[in-house]
Amino acid sequence: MVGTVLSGAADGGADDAAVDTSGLSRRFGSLDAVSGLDLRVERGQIFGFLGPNGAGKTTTIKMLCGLLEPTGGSARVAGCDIRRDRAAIKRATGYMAQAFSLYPDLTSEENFRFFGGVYGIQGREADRRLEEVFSQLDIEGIRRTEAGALSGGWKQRLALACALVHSPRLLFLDEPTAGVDPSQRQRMWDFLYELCEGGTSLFVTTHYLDEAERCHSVGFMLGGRLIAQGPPATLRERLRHRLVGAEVQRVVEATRALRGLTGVSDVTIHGHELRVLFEAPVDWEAAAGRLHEVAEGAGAPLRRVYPLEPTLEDLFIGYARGHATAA
Amino acid sequence: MRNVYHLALKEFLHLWRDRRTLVFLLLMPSIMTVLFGYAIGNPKVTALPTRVLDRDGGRIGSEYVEAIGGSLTFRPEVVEDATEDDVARAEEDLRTNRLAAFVVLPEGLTRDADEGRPAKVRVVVDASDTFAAPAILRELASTTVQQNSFLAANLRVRDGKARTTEDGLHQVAPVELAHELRFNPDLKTQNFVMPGVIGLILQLLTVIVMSTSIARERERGTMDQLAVTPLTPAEIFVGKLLPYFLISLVVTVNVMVLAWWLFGVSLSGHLPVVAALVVSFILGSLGVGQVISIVSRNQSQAVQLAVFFILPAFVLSGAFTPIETQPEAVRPIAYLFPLTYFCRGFRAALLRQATMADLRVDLAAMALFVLVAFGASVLLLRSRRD
Repeated sequence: MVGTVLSGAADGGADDAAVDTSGLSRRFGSLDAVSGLDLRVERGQIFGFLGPNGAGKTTTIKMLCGLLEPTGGSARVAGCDIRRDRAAIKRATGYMAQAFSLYPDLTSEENFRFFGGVYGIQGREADRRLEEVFSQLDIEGIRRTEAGALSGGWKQRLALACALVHSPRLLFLDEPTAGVDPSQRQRMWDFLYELCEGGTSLFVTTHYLDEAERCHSVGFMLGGRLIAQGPPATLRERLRHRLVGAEVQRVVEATRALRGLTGVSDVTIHGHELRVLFEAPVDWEAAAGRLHEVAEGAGAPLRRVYPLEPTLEDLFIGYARGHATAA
Repeated sequence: MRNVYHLALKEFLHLWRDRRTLVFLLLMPSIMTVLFGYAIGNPKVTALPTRVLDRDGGRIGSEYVEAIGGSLTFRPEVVEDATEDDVARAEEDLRTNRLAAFVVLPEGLTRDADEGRPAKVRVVVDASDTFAAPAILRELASTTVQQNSFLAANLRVRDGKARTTEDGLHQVAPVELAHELRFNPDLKTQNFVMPGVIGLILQLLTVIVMSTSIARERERGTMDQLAVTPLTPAEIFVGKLLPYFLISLVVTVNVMVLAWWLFGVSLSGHLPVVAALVVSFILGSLGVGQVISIVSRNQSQAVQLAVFFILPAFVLSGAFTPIETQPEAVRPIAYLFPLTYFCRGFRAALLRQATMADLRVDLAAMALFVLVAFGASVLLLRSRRD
């Protein structure tokens, strides 16, 4: 098994969380990269950390990993205070950076053994761990390949292997699937679930919203603030009865017209389908009349109007758009 | 050609963004020109610490003193009514590099010379410095010739044995300059130059190789990956330094054996002294390399900074030519570089069998350098994390 089974009973109360922050903040000069972050990630879960570029995701991860000193607030990671127990956090957590950060001139095995050694894993224990992790991630075939010669998906898997060398209870992954083809992404997620079942908590940032749907819980960052957190289904519920679909030939004109309608928060184009987001829950059949009318007036008549199941992408775009107009 | 213009323009934009490189490119040549122009523009040994032990107290003695005092080559000090103890002390000061040479004017010099008896002026020179020693002998020889010409002329003419001064000059040389070359009696230049060359090689190797190491981690993005591990800044520092330290030691042994084998350079120093010099110099230089590496954003910046440190060290440290060939105003800069202490100490250890006590200043200076460089590295590593 990859990962260590939790020893849960040992610490109780608030320490049950994998990550628990309160008012966590980081300023860079006059820029509030992260402000007043109150985030709670339960143990044994995959937590998806979402948000547009520059929202403060990487800054948050770096603070939680001890790479960056917070300028305000507090946080507990794997039950340890990030200011006082840095050493303990480092042993309990793994970090897989956004950019490939292994040694390209070392082989996969040498990279793995190096990071193992740094965590004090050597000799027979290192051999055992190598067999275990490499077979789990199915990278035995690249043991003697120099890391720099690997393609994207293999690199990511090797990076994951190195982040797992010390059996962390909590793993931070910053964009683990960026630039990786869909089948390799699929593999990566299989590994992450396997890890999670083994008892490891995972904290994952991603740009792929279909991946976010697979997380047990997600948080949205925007402009350095956490604007929503909860299970994807719960968050999607917020959009229930607010999303209406419309099929149309002339999508650009129709979009422009519908966006001007009062009560409409946003319209996004998906091929010949428009996804119309209302500011408040509406009865789609009642709304259909107004939509038809406005589109007709713009010379882009709608073929049909129907209710839509909200996705995280709708939510995300809704938040991001709201932020952009507010800013 | 239009394509070339756009490429060139882009290169200028890169330079403009990388202000440090730009400033470096524009300023360094000027600084080097000024510094090196003064330092090596006129390589002439000057102000060599020289002691005159006057046991004569007569006319010739004072003329010697005057002649030495008037020469730019020497920075003389005169001991009047010198005793045997003063001579012994001068020997010791020569060995410990406080003196470049000393001159003993023997008792009764003036009287002997005036009465036509042969008289000997002793000159004892530190020949381990193969630039300074000949200059000293040249200067003193010309002084002696001057003295002799007067004496000879006067004596011969007075006694009626010579009709002219020239005649007299050929007949006798009452004051003889007796030189004694210490520590490198054959005045073998390699004995002076090779310890400096070894210093240069070690300086180049250590600083360049070390300066790229952490900059490379940062460039590759592996620095963050290291920082999340339990490694402390001090551990990262030591772990980075250790391999290069060991390689530098191997290189030192190699080049010393080559210097001995090919050029017959004397390697007869005390082993602990030589080891202390080599180890402290290598550690200090690696420390400087680390500091450069930590403050550089990438490898190319690191190499530029390394060159900026190494070049003046090469020119000013006295590795090729003694510091005494530089104008006195430039010399203090040399003492900012550990290479200066290393070259001086290494020569003293190999040629003069200097002891730890003799080299305490050089060793202490290098130890201080090690402490400062190490401390700065660890502090910088710690603060650069945020």
